Amino acid sequence: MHKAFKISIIVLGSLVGLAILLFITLVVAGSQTIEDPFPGEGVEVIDAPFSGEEVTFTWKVHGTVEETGVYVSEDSVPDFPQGATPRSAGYDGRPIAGTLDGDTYTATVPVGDVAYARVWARADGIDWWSIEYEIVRGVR
Amino acid sequence: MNRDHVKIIMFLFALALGILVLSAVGFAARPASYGDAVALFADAARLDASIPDSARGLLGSHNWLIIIQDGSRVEYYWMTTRGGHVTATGRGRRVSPPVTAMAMTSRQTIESILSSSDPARATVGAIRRGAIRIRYSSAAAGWRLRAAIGAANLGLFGQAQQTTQGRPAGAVCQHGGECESSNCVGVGMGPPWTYRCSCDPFRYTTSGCAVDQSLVPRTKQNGAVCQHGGECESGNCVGMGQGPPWTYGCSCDPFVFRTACTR
Repeated sequence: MHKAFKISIIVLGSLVGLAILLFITLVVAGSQTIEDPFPGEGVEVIDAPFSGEEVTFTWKVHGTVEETGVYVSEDSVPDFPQGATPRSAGYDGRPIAGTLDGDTYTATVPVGDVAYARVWARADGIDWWSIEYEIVRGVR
Repeated sequence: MNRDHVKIIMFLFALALGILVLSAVGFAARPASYGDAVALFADAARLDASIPDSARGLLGSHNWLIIIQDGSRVEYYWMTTRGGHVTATGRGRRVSPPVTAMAMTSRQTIESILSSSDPARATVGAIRRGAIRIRYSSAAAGWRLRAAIGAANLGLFGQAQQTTQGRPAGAVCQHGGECESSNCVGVGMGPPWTYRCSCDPFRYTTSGCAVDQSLVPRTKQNGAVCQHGGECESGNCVGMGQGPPWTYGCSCDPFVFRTACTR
């Protein structure tokens, strides 16, 4: 009886040990690394709500800001390289200016006919752009 | 716990992974396109409702940063989950409150999964290829999901799907990626078994194969009233006019109702 009990404990302990080993193996095998590709310069959009009567963009600009705001357009503007001026990128007129609060800027964009928006900043003599954001209205 | 139970649990893990990483793939109402997925992601309540209860334990409570990278173009999204429920979603690189989990993939990967007849299997394949990556901020966080990813990486899930087009049920196969149904199962008494494409992932049957929605013809022209993007030639079904409530119509633009495509 005593020997049987010892064997049971050994078997049970082995199974528990194997289970823990398997679990650790799975967790280690499932641990992955990701390098956030944000370059740490230019425009960093923190929030760009999808929809609403008004859409309030929130962003930071890395560098010494000369001017920043949101350019809006009814049609999509194809992607272009960083450094492009608003005119060469295809935007006319003035952006909706950003308001500084702490280290972040905000700008409220009335939805209306606006369908696309990009956050823009001129910092240290360089024009920086965010990706183009679609303003979603009643999408299903 | 028999072998079938293990397979079912693994399958549920795969489903949960698909939901988590895409953050928009509701299996009850599956998005037809990347635009549909983004639109679903915009509605946290609808996204949450599309997640099966069996997957909620894996979602946990985290502040997610989701990165969609295609070359130099990077899209950031954020999502908050509490107790397995999606409580808020948004666009942008929101890092406050602190990010506790990060997921990275590409638009191409998402579109590939959406067009697959078996999104869960396609998701597992993407994880094994490194096309979807997840990182937690601490070693102790997300251990259940991490173990599931580990199981996928070690090949404990089914074979990764290679293509959405393939052999019909009943055809001889080497792996699920060769089959329309994504299922390649052993047939008859074995070993050795003969492997054939099957409608069911766990037993051999050639009847009852689910219709692959990606292969269903999309017939409605831009401007036609629609229920969802899968009905439209363009794949986009968006609200028309002033709302709510909106009437929905096929559009050449995934976000704004347009019948004249300008790009």
